[in-house]
Amino acid sequence: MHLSLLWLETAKNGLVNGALIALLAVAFSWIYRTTRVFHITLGAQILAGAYAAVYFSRLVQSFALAAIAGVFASIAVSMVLMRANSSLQRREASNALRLIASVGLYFMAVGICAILFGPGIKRGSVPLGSSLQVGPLLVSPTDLHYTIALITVGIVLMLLVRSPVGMGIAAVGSNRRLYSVLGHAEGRVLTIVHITTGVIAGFCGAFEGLRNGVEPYGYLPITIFAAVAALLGGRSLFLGPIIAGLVLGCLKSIATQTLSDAWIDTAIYGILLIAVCFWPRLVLAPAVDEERP
Amino acid sequence: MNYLWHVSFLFAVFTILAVSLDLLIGHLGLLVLCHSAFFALGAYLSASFMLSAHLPFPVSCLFAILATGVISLPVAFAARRLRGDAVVLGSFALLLVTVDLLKNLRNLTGGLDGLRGIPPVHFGPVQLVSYQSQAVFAILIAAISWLLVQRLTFSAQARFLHALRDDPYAAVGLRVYSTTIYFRTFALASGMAALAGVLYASYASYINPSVFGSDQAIALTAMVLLGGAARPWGPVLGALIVISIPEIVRAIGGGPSYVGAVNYVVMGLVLFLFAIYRPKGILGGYEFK
Repeated sequence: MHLSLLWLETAKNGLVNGALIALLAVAFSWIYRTTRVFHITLGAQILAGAYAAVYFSRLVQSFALAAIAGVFASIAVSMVLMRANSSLQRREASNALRLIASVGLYFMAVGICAILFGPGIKRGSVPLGSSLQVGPLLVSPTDLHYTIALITVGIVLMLLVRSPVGMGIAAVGSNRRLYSVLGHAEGRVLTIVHITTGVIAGFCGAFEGLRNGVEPYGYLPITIFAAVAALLGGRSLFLGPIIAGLVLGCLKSIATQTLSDAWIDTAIYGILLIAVCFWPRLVLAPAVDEERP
Repeated sequence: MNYLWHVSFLFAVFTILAVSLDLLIGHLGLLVLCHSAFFALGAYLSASFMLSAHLPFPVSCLFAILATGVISLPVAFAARRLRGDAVVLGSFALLLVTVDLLKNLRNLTGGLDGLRGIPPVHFGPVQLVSYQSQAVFAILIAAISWLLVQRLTFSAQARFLHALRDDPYAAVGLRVYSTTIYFRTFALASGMAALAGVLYASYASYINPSVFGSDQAIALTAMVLLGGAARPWGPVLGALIVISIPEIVRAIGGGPSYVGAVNYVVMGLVLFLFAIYRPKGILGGYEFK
């Protein structure tokens, strides 16, 4: 393959991988900035979306309906998680305890899926369609779906962030006590956040499940990738995670091209480790009402 | 009978791990998830010393403990600067990096295939080969570890630890040397975890990275939190409960994959319920705020 075409292919793969990470990073970031829960259970939402899409696709043989089923399953899990988070909030649990609870919920979800569906890979039965030739590049339907989804979600979120709802989300993330004291409905904001993250995680889970199949133990790495992108994105609710996700996706693609595939995860976890160790307050960005005097 | 000795061995090894992790979680107040990385380092280092350098067991064991203790010092230094969720997240990232390194450094660790043919515990011509002898030896080591930690936690040193846990700013203001205390505590806890790893590697004679992954870290954390952090019998009770769960599931007829899945559910449930209803654990230990 010609060298420039190879790099073009690498860039395309990077952007597609980055789109997945970016979408999930936005979902992670919204939950993390508003509830202060390090949202490892995002993996459970992806898992729910993937299993629902795969099993529904076997029943209806329709890609769109399977994806919608995945989104609804993920929203349902998201609402359960919201109840769990509000229980922790009522008890004024520390951030560390909330993280432990989140890890616990993720493990429960994985175990339940392994019991219900078995430990092996399950695949859907809907063909994804044939690839398209765009100039010198061969674009698969999944690439196309991610690109369209990222642009759509990007536009929707951009509009949302600048709307009163977006302002409310930013305000809850910054100082939730003040937001409540001023008479605003914090619960409404949290419901919107959880439904939005359910839609994003369900969508990503459905596509991943229909593309690669689904198995219960496989979604921790992508959740960690999303968390890294969200944290590196800083306090921003939208642009930061999107840019960080795309950059991570491109780095992953370049690393696949130039290094061994096995080292990519190590590098991403290493970035997370270094970022947390050297810039904890920048990375974890405490809310205004959590700042030390 | 061998089965009972096998479970006793596992209980002893996980008691060492839980008691040592309690030093960090209960007494120092750091919710660290990287303890199974120290466990892995002990197992891999001792196995490598015995397989590659053909060192005798006691020397390999000593080198593995010392090396893991030294490796833990930068971790202690980093942990000293962090609080709350940053500690949990940083230690989890460290665990993931360690496990990935074990998978990727194939020449040293055997990669995903792991290391095979690790010699059993031996002192000169005396080899501990039977289930019974290995379990008794491990229980002995676990008892010594428990006594060592109890001695530490009732000493003046423990008051410094608890001062740093409860109010680090005031403790440092009162000239409690936090760096030294963090170094000592991490070195002791990681050394004990490495010792557990050495025992495990020699018992199993085969290790691979999947033994030391995130589920192991969660199980260890669950042991300490479930029993009650900073309570003398808390980690021991936690280890007993967590070790018993898969054995009970196996006894009622579950296959290996079913046992693993049920273990995930129970561990997850324990951590979640702990966080919501019983942050002090069963025996009422230190509560995270």
